[in-house]
Amino acid sequence: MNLNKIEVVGEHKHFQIREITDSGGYHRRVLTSDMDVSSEVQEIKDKAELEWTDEVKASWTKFQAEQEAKMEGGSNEGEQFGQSNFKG
Amino acid sequence: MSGLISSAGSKSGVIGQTEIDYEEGTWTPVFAAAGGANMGATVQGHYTKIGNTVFYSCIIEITSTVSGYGAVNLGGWPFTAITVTNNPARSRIAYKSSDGTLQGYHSLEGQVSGTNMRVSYWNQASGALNATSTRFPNGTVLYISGQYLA
Repeated sequence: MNLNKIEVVGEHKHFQIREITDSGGYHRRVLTSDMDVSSEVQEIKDKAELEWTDEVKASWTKFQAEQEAKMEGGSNEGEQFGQSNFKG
Repeated sequence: MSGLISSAGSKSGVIGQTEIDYEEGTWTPVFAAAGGANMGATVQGHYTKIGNTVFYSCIIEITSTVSGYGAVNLGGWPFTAITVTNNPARSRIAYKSSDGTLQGYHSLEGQVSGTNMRVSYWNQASGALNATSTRFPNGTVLYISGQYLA
C-alpha cells in the first residue's frame, strides 16, 4: 500500500492515514501519539516528530484514562455473574 | 448529489447548501483484550463515510484466545470518532462459537469513542457489562456492523 494522505485531527493530533491498495481502493487507519511509528514511512515519522509533542502525548494519555472510566460496560461480566448467565 | 465514484472511492458534492464528502474503502480491525495482544485474524473490514458519519462492517475470526479476565476492545478504526458522551451510535455484534452454534441470546454491543470500542452486553439486573476475552475462544466468528460520528 502507498501513503495517499495524512489528516491531523483533533486536539490529540491523531493521524488519519489513507493509503492506496494494490487494487486501487482506499485503506484507512488511525495513528495516535502513544503508537510506535518507527516502521512507518518517513513522511509519517516526520509528521509525528512535528506534531506529537510531550504536551500532546500527555494530553492523550490523560484523555484515554478519562474515557476508560466513561466506557460503557463498566464491570467485567465474570466479576458479577458466571459465564452461564451470559446466555440469559 | 449524484455523480461517479472513482476506483479509489472518494467524492464530494453539494446537497442544497451543504457540502457532503463521500468515501469508501477498507480497514483492519484489531480485536484485543484490554492491554493485550490481537486475538483475531481479520477476514475483512469495510467502511463508507458520508459527511460526518462512518458506516462500517467487519468479520473477525478469533485465532488466538487470550485467557484472563480483561475486557475486550475493538480498534483499528478508519476514522477517529468523536467522544463517547456525544456519540449516539451503537454497534450490533452477532457471533457464532467454534462449534458453529450461533450464540446470539444476548446481542453484544459497543460504542466507538476516540479510537476504541469496548465490547459489552446488557444484563437486565445490572446494566451494561464488559464481555471478557474468555467469551471468545478460538474459532469464534464475529460479524460486526454499525455507524459512528467522526
